Amino acid sequence: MTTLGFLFLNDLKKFKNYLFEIKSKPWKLLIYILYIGWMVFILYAAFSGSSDEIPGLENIGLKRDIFSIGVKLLVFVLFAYTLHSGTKQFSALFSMGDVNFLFPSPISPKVILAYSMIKSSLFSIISSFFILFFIPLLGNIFGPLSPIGIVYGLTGVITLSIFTIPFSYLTFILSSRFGLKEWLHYFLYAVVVFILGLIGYGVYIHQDIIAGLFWAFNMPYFSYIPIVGWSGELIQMSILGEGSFNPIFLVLQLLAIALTSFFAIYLAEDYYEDVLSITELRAELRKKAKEGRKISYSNSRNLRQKTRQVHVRSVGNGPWAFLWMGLVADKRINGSLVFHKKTLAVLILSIAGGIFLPGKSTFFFYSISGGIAYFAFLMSFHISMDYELKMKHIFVLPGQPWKKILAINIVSILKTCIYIITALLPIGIIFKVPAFSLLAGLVFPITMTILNLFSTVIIHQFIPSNFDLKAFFPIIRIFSFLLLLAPPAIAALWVGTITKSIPLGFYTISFLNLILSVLCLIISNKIFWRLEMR
Amino acid sequence: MLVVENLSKNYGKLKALSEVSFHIKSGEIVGLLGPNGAGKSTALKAITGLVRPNGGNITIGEYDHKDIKAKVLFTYIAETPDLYDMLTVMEHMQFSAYAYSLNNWQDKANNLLELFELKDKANELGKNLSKGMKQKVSICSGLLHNPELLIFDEPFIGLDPKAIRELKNIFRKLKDNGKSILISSHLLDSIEDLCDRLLVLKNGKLIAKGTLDDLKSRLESERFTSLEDVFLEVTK
Repeated sequence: MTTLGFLFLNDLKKFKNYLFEIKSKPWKLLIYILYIGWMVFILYAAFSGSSDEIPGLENIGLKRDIFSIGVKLLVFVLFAYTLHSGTKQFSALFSMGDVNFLFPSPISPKVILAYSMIKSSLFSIISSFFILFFIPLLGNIFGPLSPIGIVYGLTGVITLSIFTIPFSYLTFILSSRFGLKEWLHYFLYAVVVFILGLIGYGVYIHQDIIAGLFWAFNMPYFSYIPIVGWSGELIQMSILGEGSFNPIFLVLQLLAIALTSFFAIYLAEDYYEDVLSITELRAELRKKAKEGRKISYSNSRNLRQKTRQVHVRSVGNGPWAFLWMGLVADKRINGSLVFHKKTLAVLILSIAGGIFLPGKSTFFFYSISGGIAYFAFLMSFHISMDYELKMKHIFVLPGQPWKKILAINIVSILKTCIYIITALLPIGIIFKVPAFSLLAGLVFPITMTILNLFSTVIIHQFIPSNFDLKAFFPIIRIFSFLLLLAPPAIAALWVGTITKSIPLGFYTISFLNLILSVLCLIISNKIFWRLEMR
Repeated sequence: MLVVENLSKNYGKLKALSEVSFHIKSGEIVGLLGPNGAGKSTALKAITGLVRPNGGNITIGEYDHKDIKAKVLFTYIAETPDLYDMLTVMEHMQFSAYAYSLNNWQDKANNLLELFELKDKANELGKNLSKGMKQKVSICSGLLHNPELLIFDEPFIGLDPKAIRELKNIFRKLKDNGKSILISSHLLDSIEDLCDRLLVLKNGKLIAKGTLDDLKSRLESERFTSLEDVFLEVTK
């Protein structure tokens, strides 16, 4: 058996075991059924013609121009991202099993890398077929699509995603071994400046932003830019149909893949150290995720790179040690609870939104507040401190359960308050929303988050296993909607209608959210014994 | 069997290893000791080709350590015994057999699994095993191709007393068969009666090497009777 064949057989065995494992864990089947159901729903929605044409864009030429610009922009962003991230790290997908078993074995590192690229390419091809889900939607917008155009479009997506695999490694090698990192950055900056300059020139000669953008991206030269232009041309063929140059672009694209793959494998010497740290980091994150800890990739990297020395004063004894621990962790990652990059970004977005958003009215402010509350509802499940609910400290540290639960959630609540105030206050001030209404718009999403955090604790108490949580996720969402969201919303609607006051409706829902939060805390306190370390 | 000359490894400004030199002869068990962060794991990773040395030479048999022929000669059991989650215990053995182009490996694989009491776990997935069992699977897979040089990073951690005894017996048998073994360990009493020679690393430098008796006599005091005493004294 060839080495590549042996590696392939090995992966087939893993896949076979994965399928067989369903027998021992039938809950997995529920997850798959839900995913399949979700995909069928998307397909049904797409093919049933429910996706109407984009309103206000009757002009088919304009629609095609917008599609063309969108495709080229996406292709360029992907290219730039691959180039930039490739200069920092090699993102090949190896496991710790590979590190312990495959790397020390007498198999050539070049063969291992080549196989890894082939495997990644197969995944890329399979995931690229999901693009087919959008075909009915594209057909609704742009009219009937030609089969050959679809083939070209799909080929464009596949070849582009395959290209990024050897390109990422080649970029990494060029920057780490040959010291070309800065030059690669300069090249990327030059391309960005060139494109921005082109757009600027287009805006200047047309005296219009949209016209300038169209002019820059629809220049014929754009199609001839290696990879970016070629892929863009191939992808947009899905709606524009076949052109005389498309086969040439396809050949060029395939040649580019072959060449980058050849150079990547040719230079693949002694790269194990390069993939070791990222593989260890991934394994660590996976382990933490299994424990229930949600820690972002970037935060984890920051923590590994340097340990910021922080000092946080005691905030109390017993259960309040959890609050101190949360403050220390946040200070170490972000520097400050209030002043850090993310709040600054939210502040800038809020001010920009306040200035540029049309329809500056109190009602629009309420809509934004509602949108943020909904977003907070979606996110709070992930930001809740479920990790702490699975660690030994929550069980062994002395203190009343409700105090422990409150203490582990306070930092999340404070952060949410800061984000929501930063996001809404500038918009409210610029929109000139009255103070009574402004406060109503602020407290609603905050109380919504608090309710979700405390209700999540109860969910974890009832379903301690992360695996079961995933399986039950849709049902949990339905129940949390019916039991926690609907009653305050109905009450708020009733109060708002009777008093003919939107802010009073907002205050009602906020008040009821707080009452329900306290109720959740009381219930969590009562059923604390259900928590178990997993 | 293993010759390490002036091995250096830097992580940025941090000197993880600085001009480390030692050798291991055939039929010899050598213990690599050192406090946390001394550079033991880095040294083993450099020898096995998992990290790139910044300087020095490493030869296994008569080959450079990165040569494919050198890789056939050694096995490496890592400190964290991570397996392939979705391969069974027996499939890990099969993987090693294929990777090292072995024929008629099944009997030896079964014997090894039996020795380490893993026979009933042969069809269990890697991800469902405890840390100690993972360690045992790593050791069994590593021993399957009958390597000339065995490199172990903290092999006793996670093993139950019976498995520790079995592993020690295996080490002795391998030594009798002329195999070379390099063991990094914190469990000083576990390797005290096992190693022919000791290497002590501190802050990336080799601060002491020799037999336990050599080290004791160098300290010129009768107070130091055990390996633990010697280790604490030299790394002070």
